[in-house]
Amino acid sequence: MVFSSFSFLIVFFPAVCLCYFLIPRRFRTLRNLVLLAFSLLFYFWGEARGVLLMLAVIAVSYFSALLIERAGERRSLRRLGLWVELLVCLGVLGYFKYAGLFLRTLNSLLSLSVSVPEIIMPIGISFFTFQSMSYVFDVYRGKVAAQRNPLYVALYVSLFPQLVAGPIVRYETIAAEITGRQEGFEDVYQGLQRFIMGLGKKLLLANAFGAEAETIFAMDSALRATPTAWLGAFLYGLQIYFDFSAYSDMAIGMGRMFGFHFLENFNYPYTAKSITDFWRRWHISLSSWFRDYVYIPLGGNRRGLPRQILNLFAVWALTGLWHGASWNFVLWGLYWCVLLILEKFLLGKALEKLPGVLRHAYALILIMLGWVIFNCTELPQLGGYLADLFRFRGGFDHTLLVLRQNVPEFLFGAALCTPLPLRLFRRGADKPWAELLRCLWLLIVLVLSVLALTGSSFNAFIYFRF
Amino acid sequence: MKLIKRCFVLILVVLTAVFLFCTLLGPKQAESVYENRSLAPRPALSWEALWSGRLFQDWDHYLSDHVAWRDAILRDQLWLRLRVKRQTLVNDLVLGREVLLPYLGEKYPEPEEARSLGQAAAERLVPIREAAEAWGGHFLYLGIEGQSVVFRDSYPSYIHNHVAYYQKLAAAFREAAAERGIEARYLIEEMGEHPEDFYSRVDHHYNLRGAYLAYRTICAWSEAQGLPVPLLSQETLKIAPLSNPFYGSYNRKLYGLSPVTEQLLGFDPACMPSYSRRDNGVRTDAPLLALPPEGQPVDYSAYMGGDFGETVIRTHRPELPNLLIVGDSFTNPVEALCVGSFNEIRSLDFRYYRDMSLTEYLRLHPADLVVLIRDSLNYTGTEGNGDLR
Repeated sequence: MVFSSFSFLIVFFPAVCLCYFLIPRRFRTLRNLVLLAFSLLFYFWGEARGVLLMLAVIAVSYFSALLIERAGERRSLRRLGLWVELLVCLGVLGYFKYAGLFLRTLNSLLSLSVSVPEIIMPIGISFFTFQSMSYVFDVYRGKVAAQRNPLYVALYVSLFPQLVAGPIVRYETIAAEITGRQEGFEDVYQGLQRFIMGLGKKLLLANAFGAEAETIFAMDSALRATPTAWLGAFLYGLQIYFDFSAYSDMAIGMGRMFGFHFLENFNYPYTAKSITDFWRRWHISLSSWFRDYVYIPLGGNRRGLPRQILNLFAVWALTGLWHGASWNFVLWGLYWCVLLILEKFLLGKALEKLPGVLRHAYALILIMLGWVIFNCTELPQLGGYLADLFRFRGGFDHTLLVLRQNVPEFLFGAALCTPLPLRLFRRGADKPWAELLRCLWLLIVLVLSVLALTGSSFNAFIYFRF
Repeated sequence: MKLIKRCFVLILVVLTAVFLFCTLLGPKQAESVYENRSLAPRPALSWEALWSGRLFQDWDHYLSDHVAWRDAILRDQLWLRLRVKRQTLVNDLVLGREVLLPYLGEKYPEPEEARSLGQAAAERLVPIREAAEAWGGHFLYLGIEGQSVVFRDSYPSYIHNHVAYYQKLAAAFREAAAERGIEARYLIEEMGEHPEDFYSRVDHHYNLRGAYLAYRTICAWSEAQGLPVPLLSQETLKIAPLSNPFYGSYNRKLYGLSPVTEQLLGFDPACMPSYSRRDNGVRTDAPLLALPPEGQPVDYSAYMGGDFGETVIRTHRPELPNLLIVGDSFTNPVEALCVGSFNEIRSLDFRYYRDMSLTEYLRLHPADLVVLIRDSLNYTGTEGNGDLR
């Protein structure tokens, strides 16, 4: 079930809210059980068979964390708990997500004909395995205590707002809130506002950009003019940003309604002035996950330059692979790695001396090239698209059509890539008239979103495939 | 301040509740008139559907199709796109100058491909002609220019009309057909300087005047084969606009907000001789022009009541020749008009007809005249009526 569907908006979400808020706040356990039951139903709705797998991962994580904690100073037992968790989570990921890629590559490299099984990847597998691992890692490091109540571990991993498309919530972020949160009317109000903004971003912007980008990427390479190719790259960049950040907005908003405070996942990434800056602002929960649980444990920058570069390559290859079982994602990860290394060791100082506009342009162009690599899952398609970007073949017809068709989307999209609208939105925070305007604006966004949802069949979240 | 916030939340709660109850308890439509499709049925509960996840997908689909005030919402959304955003491309339609046109997309084959496609299409006609002649008949290919080709200049400059490709394709086909001795007429040559007068501006077909031209061409060709037939004049037929609102294949997608409107042209069925009719082997009293009640919308299926795999009409005038017409919906109004001029009119539409091939059909039901009607966008198509062998 996607958030931007009628099933969710008029059936599932109202039902959760009704059941949840009818229970007095003092019955915290009961409220948590309602959330857990609806979270499992939410997952069952989208992936009936995957529920058992997710519950198995949760069970392993629960026992691994307990084992680690109870092992005390016995390092071998602690490591056993950690290894079991790693093996199970990575095994599940490896089998369901990467077995096909592995076998196909093996067949191709060694000219074998091993049959590739048709494995259906459960929705959100990358998110719930990563959350489970982060919980056990944190217990292992002693950052958090193991949760005694298995239902709360299940609630943490399966909490429906962030279950299938993130953000990746660390256990430490919400550990205290699972049992001790104090959700009030202000939380509901703020959460609803955030949710509606996310819904609008998804339905009014991401889908519009996505439909146009899809057309351009599907064009025959021989017919794609260079301006069209660049437009396609930027449209896809806008689509993926508004799609993913919308989902994060909705997740954060719903979490807030139920009293959880998830960390921000995006910080205006397209205002970045370098690639390094971009990755501080894009999918923050994932990049910080890899930083804390892969890069630093591998030694980070503490073991000399060659090892640091090797660590960076490992982290970025894994980051790429996390996004999909296809080699273009690995290429995409390594592309960022090379750029980050270049900025860190060669270009950093020179970049800082450039005017801000040029630094923005530099970052944006490289970011959009990155999205082209990301979106072309077949290497010949990627080659064709990159060639179209740089072969300087004229033709503005399609570009003009797309621009004319989507004037409001481009204007609002460009504005929402910057912090300006939010500053305007929050202006006069304590003034009733400003609050009234905010509410009216959100109602307009909601009505337009319902119009768009009814009129649109193009409604699949990109991040569901991770 | 708190009051505003509480009102906001209350409004959302009330709106959601009303929307939910109206969606679940409101009247349900089985089909969407504007989209010309069946709406999703209520999903049936079964273990298999539940476990496979199909049940929930079906519910998503069902709710999307039956959400309260769906048609009104779709109309409002379209209004925004047309009047506020001023889009020229809406629901796969291009809003041209006083005409609605299909959006043909950005992909089209290389021109080199046109020649081979044209030759292959012409080659496929040879056995049909041979079969028609083997049973004592004559074969005619009647080409109708596509609506989007006729109105090609009405496309905005930045939207491809693909006319270059289609013209190349048509030229390749015509040359290949001539080389193979296929007798062909191309209606565009009969239409003079204003071919657009013979086409609908809200539908992808020609109008009844265009169909009349096709009918007249067939009659003239029949006479040229030594088989003279009475020709009904436009005055006799009383071709005139119907009063019902016309839902063409294009303007129906615009939920009554089309900037271009048009009336469907009708004729007077009283000028036709008495006849008996069978559709798909079943005897029927269906009229040649099926009109809804006054004020109700009418569409192109008014001619002959729409598409059928096989229609047989007998006027019981053995002195007149028998005619077999093959083709898709472009044949419908022509069939209706031909009732006035032929003894037996058979019509086959191979998008639906599955019983036998055309050559076998000709063996069983020899016709004096066999006419294949195709529109220029489909001269080289291989589906439906594109491959009759």
